[in-house]
Amino acid sequence: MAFSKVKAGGDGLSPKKKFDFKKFIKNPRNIILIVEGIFFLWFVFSFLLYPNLNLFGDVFFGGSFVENIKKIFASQRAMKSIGNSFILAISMCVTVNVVGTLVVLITEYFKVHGSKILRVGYMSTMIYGGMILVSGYKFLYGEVGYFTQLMRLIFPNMSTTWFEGYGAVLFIMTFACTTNHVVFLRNALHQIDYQTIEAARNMGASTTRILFKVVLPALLPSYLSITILTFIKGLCAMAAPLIVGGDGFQTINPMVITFVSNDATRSLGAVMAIFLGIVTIALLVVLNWFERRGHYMSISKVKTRIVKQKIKNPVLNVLLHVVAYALFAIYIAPIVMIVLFSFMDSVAISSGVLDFSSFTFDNYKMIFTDSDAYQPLIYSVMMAAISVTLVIVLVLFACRIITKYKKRRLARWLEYGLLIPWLLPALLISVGLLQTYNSSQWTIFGITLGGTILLLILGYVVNKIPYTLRMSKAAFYSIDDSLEEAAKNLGAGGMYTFVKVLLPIIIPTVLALWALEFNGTLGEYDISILLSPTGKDTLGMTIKTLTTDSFDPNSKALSFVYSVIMMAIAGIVVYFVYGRKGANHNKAKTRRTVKQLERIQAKRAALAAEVSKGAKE
Amino acid sequence: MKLNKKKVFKCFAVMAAAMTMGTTIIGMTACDALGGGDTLVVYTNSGSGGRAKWWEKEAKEAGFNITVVDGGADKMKEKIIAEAKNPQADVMCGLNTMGWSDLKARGLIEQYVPKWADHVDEGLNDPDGYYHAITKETILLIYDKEVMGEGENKLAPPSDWIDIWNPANTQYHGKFQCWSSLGGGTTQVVLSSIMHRYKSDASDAKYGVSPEGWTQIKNLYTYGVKAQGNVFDALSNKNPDHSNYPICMGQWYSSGIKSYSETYYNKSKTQHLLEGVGYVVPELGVPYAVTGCGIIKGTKKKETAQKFLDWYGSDEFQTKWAQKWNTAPANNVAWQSASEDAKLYTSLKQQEIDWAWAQSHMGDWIAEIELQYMK
Repeated sequence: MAFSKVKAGGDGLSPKKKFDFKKFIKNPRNIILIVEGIFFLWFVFSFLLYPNLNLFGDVFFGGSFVENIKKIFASQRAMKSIGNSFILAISMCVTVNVVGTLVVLITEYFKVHGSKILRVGYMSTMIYGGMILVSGYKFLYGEVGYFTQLMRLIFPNMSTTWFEGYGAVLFIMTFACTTNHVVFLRNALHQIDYQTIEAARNMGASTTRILFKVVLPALLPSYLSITILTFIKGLCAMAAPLIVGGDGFQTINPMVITFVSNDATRSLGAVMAIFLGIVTIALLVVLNWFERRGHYMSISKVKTRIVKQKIKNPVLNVLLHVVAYALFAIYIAPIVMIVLFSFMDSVAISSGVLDFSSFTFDNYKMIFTDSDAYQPLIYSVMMAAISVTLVIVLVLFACRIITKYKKRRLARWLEYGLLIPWLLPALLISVGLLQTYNSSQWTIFGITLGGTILLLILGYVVNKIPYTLRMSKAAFYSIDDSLEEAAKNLGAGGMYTFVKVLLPIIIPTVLALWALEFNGTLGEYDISILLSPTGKDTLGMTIKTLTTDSFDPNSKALSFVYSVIMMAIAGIVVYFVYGRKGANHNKAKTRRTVKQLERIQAKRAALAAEVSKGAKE
Repeated sequence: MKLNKKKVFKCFAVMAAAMTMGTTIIGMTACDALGGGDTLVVYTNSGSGGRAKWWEKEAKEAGFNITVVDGGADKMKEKIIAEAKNPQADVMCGLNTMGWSDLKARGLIEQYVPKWADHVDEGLNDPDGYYHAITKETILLIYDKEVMGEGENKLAPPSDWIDIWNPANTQYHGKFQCWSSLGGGTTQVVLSSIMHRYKSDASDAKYGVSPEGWTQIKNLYTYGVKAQGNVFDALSNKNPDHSNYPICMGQWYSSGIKSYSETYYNKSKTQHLLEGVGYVVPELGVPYAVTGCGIIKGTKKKETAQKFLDWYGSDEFQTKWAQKWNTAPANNVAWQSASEDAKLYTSLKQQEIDWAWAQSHMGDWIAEIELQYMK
C-alpha cells in the first residue's frame, strides 16, 4: 500500500549510506544538508503523515476496508464513473496537449498578427475556474445558450441539448486546463537556443521539420510534467461533469466528495480517494523514472532569443490566423458572459437569458457599500500571499535536494513524502489537520494551533506542496548541470550558486507558480471553512455561503459579482507577473550572470591551455 | 573567499525577511488569541442574508458580545466534532434534529435547560435537556399552480410524495426532480420522511428499511429528472410549451416559499410562476425541520453561554427574529406574532419521524443510493 511505502520513506531519511561520517560532518556544507534533512523529516512526518494517520488509522486497519472495496465493486454506477474518469483523463492528455501546444506556438513561435491580444485571451484560464467557468460555458452552449441559438438559426433541426455528455465535458475541460501550457511550456520554449533552430534551417530543414524534430523534443520534460497534471485534473474533474455530464457521463470525484463530506460515509470516500491517489502516484513514479533516465537538451549557455517564425505558405498562414482567433473567441467568450450576467438578477442567471432591460448595478452596489464585504477580500489576499510564498520557499529547498541527489534513495523518498497530499482530497487533509493540531500535540513540541491563522496557513501550504513540487522540479531539470559546475569551479558557495545562478533561471516558473497558486487560493473553500479562525471569513467562504445558502433568493447574483471581483484581482496578479518589464528584467539578469560565468570560464580554459602548452614545451 | 561580503549581506537580507514575516504571523496569532476576551463564539448555519450581522448587533444591545461564525450545516458540525479536544465555539445555533442527535450521541453538548424551554411544544426539545428548539418549518412538496391544480387543462396535484413516482401515475413522470446530491439538509429531511414509512426490523430490511421502501427510491430515480439547480430555477426555466423543461414539482422549505415565489414571479413575468406555487399535505403529515441551540461541551464561558441561550430563545427576542426574518419560532409565545404565512405552514399536520433512527442510518442510505440508485 502506498502509505506503508511512504512511511518507510520517512524513516529512510536518516543517513545510512556507507561513508566516512567524520569526514562528512566536517564539511560545513553537509551540516546544512543534515539540518535540511532533519527539518524535512520532521515536516513530512508531522504535517503530511501524522494527521492523516491519526484520522485514517481505522479506515486502513479496520474491518470496514474490505467491505468498502466490495461495496464499490458491487456498484455499477461507481465502476462506470471510475471508467468515465479515466476516459476523460486519457482523452484530455491528448486534447489539452494539442490545444495547449497550439496556443503556445501561436503566441510564441509563429508570427501571428495581434499575438499579444491573443495571448491575453489564452491566459484567461489563469483567473477563473470551477463552477463559475462551467457556468460561463453553459451560458453559451447550454440549452438556451447564445451559441446554441445561433447554430439553430443555421441548422433549425439541431437539438438544444447537444452540449451534454462526454463531448461537452471534454470540450470544457480541454479549454479550462491549458493554463500549464500557457505558463510552463511557454517558459520552456523561451529557453530553447535559437542557434539550434538556425543550424537546422541552414541544413535545409523545413519549418515543420524543425518544429517536430528540434523544438518539440526539447520541450519533452515540460510535456511530461504537464501531461501528468492534466491527467490528474481529468481524473478529479468535478464541476464540468456535474453540470454538463448529463446522465451519460458522470465521473467519480463528485461521489468521492459527497462521501468524504459525510462523517458516516467517510471511510468509503477515503477508499475511493486513495485508489485515485495511488493511480496518480504510480504515474508519477513512471514519470520520475523517465526523467532520471533521460538527459535532456536544456537551457543554452550562450543564449540567443528565439525569433518568431513566419509561415511561408499563404494558405497555411491564413488558416493559422483563423484558428488563432477562433481559439481566442472560445477562451474569452465565457468570461464576457460571466461579466455580463453579474449585472443581472438571480432569475436571469438561472434562466441563462440576458435581459438588458433589467441591467442593474444593485449587486455591485450592495457589495461595495457593505463595509464588511472588504474584510474577507483583504484577509484572503493576505493569507494566500503568505502561504503561497511559504510553500514556494519550502519546495525550492526540497527541490534542490531532490534534483541534486536524484540518484540517492533518500532524496527520492523525500519527494514521495512531499507528494502525500495528492493521495487525499483537500477536505480530508484539512479534517486531519484540524483534529490533530487544534489541541496541543507532541509533534510540534506541545504547541496548540487551534484558533490561530497558523492552522489555516498550514492547511493551504500542505495542500499546495505536490503541485508546486512537480512544476518546480520540471524547471530544475531544465537547468544545465554544467552551469552549476561552472559556478562551483569558480568558487561560488552553494547558497550563492542557488541565488545567483539557479534562481534567476527558474524565476519565471517560480513567479508563474506564485500567481497561479495565489489565484487558486483566493477562492478556496474546503480548507478555509475548517481551518480559518473564528470570525475571519475568507473570500471562498463568502462566495460559497452565497451560492449554496438558499435563504436569500438573490444570492446567486451576488456570488457572480464576487467571482468577477476575484477574477479582477487574479487578473492584476497575472499582470504583475507577466508585465513586460518584470519578465524582461529577469531574463536579462539570467543572461548577464550566465555570460559572466561564460567569460570567466573561457579565460580559465585559455589559461589552462596555455599552461599545459608551456608544460609540454 | 571573495564572495563572503555579499554572501553575508544576502544571508542577513533573507533572515530579516524571514523574521519580519514570522513576527507578522506571530503578532496576528497573538492578537487572535487575546481577542477572545469575553466574546461568545456562536456557530450557526443560519447567519446568511444579513442575519449574522443583525444578530450580533441585537446581542450587543442585550449585553452580549458575540461573534457569529456562519457556514453550511455539515461543515459547522464537522468543525465542532474535529475541535472536540479544544472547542473554539461556545454555542451552536441551527442544525436540525438529526444534526443535534448526532452531536448529543458524541457527547459534545453541555446539558442546560434554558428558562424558556417550557414555552416550546412537547416533542421538539431534547427530553434529556441537551438541545432546545428555536425555529420550526415544514419541508413541502410544492408545485407550479399554472400547470397543476384545479381547472381545465391542469394536472391534478398528487396527494403524497410517493404518488409522483408510482409507476401507475404516468402523468407525473418526468415532471419532478430526483436528487443529484444527498448532502443538503432539506433533501435529507425528505429522504427520512420517505424511509420512515418503511421502517422495518425484519430480516429482509436493508439499513432499517423494508424492500418496499427501496423500491420507492428505485422508482424515484426511474421516473424523476436529474436536478439542475433548485426547484425554483427549474420551475421558472420553461419554454412556453414546456417541451424542454417539464418540471413542475419539487421540494422546498416553507420559510423560503414566499421570498422565492415573489422574486421569481416579479422578475420573470415573461416566463413562468405567474400564479405562484401550491403545496401538498399527505395524509401522514409533513416533515418538520426543527432548528435548535445548545452549549458546546468544554466551553470556558459556560455561564455567559447559559445567559445567552436564555436571551436567544426568549419570547421577546424570538418575536423580533420572527418578524424580521419571517421564521416560525418554536417558542409558542413568539409564534403568535409570526407572519400569517409562517403560521400557516407550521400549523400543518406533523409527520412523526424518529430522527435518531434516521440519523443512525443516514450514512448508509446515502452510500446505498449514491452507489446503487442514482443516475
